[in-house]
Amino acid sequence: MTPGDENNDWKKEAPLLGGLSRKELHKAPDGYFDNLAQRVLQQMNEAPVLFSLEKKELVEVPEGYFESVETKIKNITGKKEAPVVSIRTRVLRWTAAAACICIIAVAAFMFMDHEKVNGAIAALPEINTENDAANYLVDELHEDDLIAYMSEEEMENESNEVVDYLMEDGIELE
Amino acid sequence: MSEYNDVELLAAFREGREEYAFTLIVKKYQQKLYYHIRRMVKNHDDADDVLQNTLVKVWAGLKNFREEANLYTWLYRIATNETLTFLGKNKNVQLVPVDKNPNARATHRDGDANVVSTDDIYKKLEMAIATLPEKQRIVFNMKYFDEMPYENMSQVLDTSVGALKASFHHAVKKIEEFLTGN
Repeated sequence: MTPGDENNDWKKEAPLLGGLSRKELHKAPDGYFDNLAQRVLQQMNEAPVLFSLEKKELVEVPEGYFESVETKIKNITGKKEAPVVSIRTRVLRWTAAAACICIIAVAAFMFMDHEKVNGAIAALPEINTENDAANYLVDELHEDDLIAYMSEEEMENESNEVVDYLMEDGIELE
Repeated sequence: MSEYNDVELLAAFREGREEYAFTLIVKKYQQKLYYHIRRMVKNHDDADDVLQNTLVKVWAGLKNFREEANLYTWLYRIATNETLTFLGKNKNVQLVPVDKNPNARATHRDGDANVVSTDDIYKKLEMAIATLPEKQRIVFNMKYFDEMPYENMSQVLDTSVGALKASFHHAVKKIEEFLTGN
């Protein structure tokens, strides 16, 4: 402390510190101060325009931006959190999708089959009587099929006649 | 150089001998400004950067310098602001390596734990100062090393004399406790 300077009382409270001789704790490199003013002037003369400018941020930030930036980031990251979907919901979704596909497939199949049936019916001749039906069958069926059909018909008739005969004679059938 | 006082230097600057006057002002105050900055930053390179920025500001401001303000106080004010700006940008930088157990380090190497070498006590002082809060550290440095009157400090730091006295008192107490290991 310089003589007459106010307040040397601190030395009483800090005798160790007060007893130390005051010396600089760091030392500047040798020759550092030799041409400091010249170095600074040379530096400024090399870029006079740059050094004449007042240093300030070239990009302005809206007032209060940094106070609110943390909240904004939390809001953004909060919205981007992955949604939790239960397995049940996921299964239901897939089931619904599968059901839709099935319905569409069945509907399409039925629509196409219906068209076919309608076409076939339209191609059929008009049948109103037994004769019409007999004529249709004669026209459409193969001769072999007709012969086979007729044979079965005759055999059935003959069998019926035999049964009737035996019953009239009182013969019991097993 | 020493024959010129601040008023004459400022007059020389205003008369057009700007570089001459600036050079003399720098030579007059460069060491005080350097150590004022150096006590607050980590190493010489940082101190050099801050001092050069300070001197660039001094050059730019000299033409508008108000006579009523003390040149010495004004220079300190610029240096202090530049230092605080630098520290603000480098908040994570540790000032000096703070020893976890400084008392063990402060013992003399010949084995006698009661004898503390001169180098060690100053190393310990450096560590103790580094533990102070930023503003308290500046106040302590300006008062302890620069022996600056509180009135001048008040102008430099824009703080009341009472607050500066209290700050210095707290700093001294903490440092003494650190040095004595209490």
